[in-house]
Amino acid sequence: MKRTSEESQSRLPDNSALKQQQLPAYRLQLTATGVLSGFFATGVFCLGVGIILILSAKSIKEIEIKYTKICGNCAKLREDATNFDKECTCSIPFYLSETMQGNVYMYYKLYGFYQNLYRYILSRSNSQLMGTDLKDVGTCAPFSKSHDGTPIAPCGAIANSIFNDTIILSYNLNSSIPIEVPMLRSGITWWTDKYVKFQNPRSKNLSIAFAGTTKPPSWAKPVYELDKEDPENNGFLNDDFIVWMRAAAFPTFKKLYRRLNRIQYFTEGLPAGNYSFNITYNFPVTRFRGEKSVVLSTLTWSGGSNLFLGLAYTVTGAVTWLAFFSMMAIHLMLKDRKMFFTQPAIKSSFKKKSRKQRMNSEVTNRAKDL
Amino acid sequence: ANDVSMIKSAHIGVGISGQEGLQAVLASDYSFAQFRYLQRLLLVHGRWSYFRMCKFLGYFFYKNFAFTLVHFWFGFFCGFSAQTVYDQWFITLFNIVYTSLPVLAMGIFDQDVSDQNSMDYPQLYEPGQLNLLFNKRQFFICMAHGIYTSLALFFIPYGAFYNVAGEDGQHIADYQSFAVTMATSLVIVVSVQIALDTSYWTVINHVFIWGSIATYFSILFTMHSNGIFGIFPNQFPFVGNVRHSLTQKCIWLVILLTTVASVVPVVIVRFLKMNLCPTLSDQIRQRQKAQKKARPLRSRRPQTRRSSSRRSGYAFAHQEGYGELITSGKNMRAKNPPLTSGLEKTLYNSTSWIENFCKKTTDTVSCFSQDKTVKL
Repeated sequence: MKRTSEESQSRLPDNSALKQQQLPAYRLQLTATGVLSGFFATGVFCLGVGIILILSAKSIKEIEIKYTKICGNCAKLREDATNFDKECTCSIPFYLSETMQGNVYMYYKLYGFYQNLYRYILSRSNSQLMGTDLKDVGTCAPFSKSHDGTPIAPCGAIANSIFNDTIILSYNLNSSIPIEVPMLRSGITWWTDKYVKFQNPRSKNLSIAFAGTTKPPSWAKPVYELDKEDPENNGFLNDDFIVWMRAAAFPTFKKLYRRLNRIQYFTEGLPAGNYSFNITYNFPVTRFRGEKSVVLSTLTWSGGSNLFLGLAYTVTGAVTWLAFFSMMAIHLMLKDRKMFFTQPAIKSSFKKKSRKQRMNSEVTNRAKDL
Repeated sequence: ANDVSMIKSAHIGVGISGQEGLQAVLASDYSFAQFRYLQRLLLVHGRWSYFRMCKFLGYFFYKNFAFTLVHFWFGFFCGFSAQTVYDQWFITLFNIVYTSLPVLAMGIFDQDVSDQNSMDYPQLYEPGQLNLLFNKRQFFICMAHGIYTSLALFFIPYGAFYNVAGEDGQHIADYQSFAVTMATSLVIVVSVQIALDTSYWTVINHVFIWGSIATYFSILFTMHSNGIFGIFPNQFPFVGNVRHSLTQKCIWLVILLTTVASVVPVVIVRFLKMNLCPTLSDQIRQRQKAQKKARPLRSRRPQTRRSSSRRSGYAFAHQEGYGELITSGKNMRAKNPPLTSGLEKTLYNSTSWIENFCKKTTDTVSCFSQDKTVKL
């Protein structure tokens, strides 16, 4: 035996806690107190949050008007692409029964427009939009170059399909001449989009900066004429353009269009009364059976008027509480039952070995060479 | 020499290096010097290895089902155009960086019962023989769990993002925010799941699990920063996302709800299973925990490593002398308190060495009947 202990000296594993698998450790166990108190706390929290979210979602005022088909015969007109130069406008009246207090936001909402298609999302050039390299249109298929080979700026399918309806909200004050509700065009994009991701090429005059490129095929005006009055909103920095370029996740989405400017009669929000939308209908949606609408809505701390999150939290909280009560009942019923250990340990059979054998085995057992 | 073919054809061949040469040792998977080491090899290391491997496999399948099936659900909403829900970088790094180390630590260090208890209760070896811990049924359970998690992971953010705008009215339901929300909730859900699965928490497990989550967030912040967008605008288009999305309260509420919805059913099922039909392993673990509470906490270092007795010398005598006293370890270990259940008393050799000495002869008869239930 001495010989083997000498031979195996060289192959002896280290007597460290790591190698002997005896690192100090915490044995995780699902104890009744831990699980039950966790479930109770989770249930209370989820129910509370759910109720708060439902209440805040209900306090939002929102009004949506779908205008795909009700705008005269504009829908039919736009189905034919050769009618692109014919203007089509309409006015849609509606009535606000309650004042919309606070900040009011105007969105356009599209149904059935898949901005999350794989080739659609790929079809853009971030280096071009950053202004560093206007001619880099490699990833923009199929809208990278025009017929004669000039690169398109901005290139790609996302840019080409920009939403180009104009929506103007007007208010009938004292049922006489309608006045246009003042709206802000700025502040509708993410800060990083406006100041980091999208930059115009450096030049004093934008039309010179964009020389050598051409406008996308579906656009009426080139990119440097999107907003001639405000140079901060022209070229790639145009807010509507930036908002459109941020591809939506689902086929039904709404994008911020304008914010209420709280001056004149609208310092408190939108007062109740008669309003109307004056729409210049340019964006064709009927060919792919989509729809478009305009949405006016207020906001709370939790964002838009979706009841889903509040309901989901309430349901989860209720289910957790139900589980808590049933688990507690089961645990209390089983607590009195004694844990009968039906399997005996083999320790007692050690005693039948002879004294000498036991002495040897216990000493070398402790060595634990393995 | 005739043992070599036998060893080679076995699932696991064990050779004993001894006086008959080293041929068996060279052909075997495991070899050692004395036949009695086989007991520890099987009951402790073999059993732990099976247990760890099955847990590892189960978790790995679950994690990848949860990760991948989300794309199946998203297909219905993206025109079946195979658009990925996550950022390309996340897909690359998910299995390599964010979730590989915790499960590796679980596969190396996990123990369901201590080694001493594994030796004392060889019945624990049965699940390995009967293929209970990972078979077709367990695989389908993993798959179902992964499918359920992917449903929760996709549809809760989908419903939450359906018609909302952010706190300042701006776009929140865009593709990139959705990707970041899904990725963050996925990493948190699978990390919580591995935290529930790991039953033996060493320092390394802590470091790996919390470190993986921290790594995810730090890589996320790096990839969405302005600096790296400036250098590689086409490779890192997610600039500004983390700053915008993860500062919105409703996104964190979505992530929290997804985690709760994914984890609560698992905890319920495990708790009920442990209470209603506990396995032998569960029972032994509960006893271990109760014993640990009853035993006074001393510094266990010299005891657990047994460094002092490891390379102690051997003493031989013609008469018995005090050999019994020394080998029973009574003067080294604290005395275990007597337990109430009568059955358990016989299972513990906590009585003094004198009683051991006296019981030897009487116990040999009673132990024969118990011996028959032992399977090796």
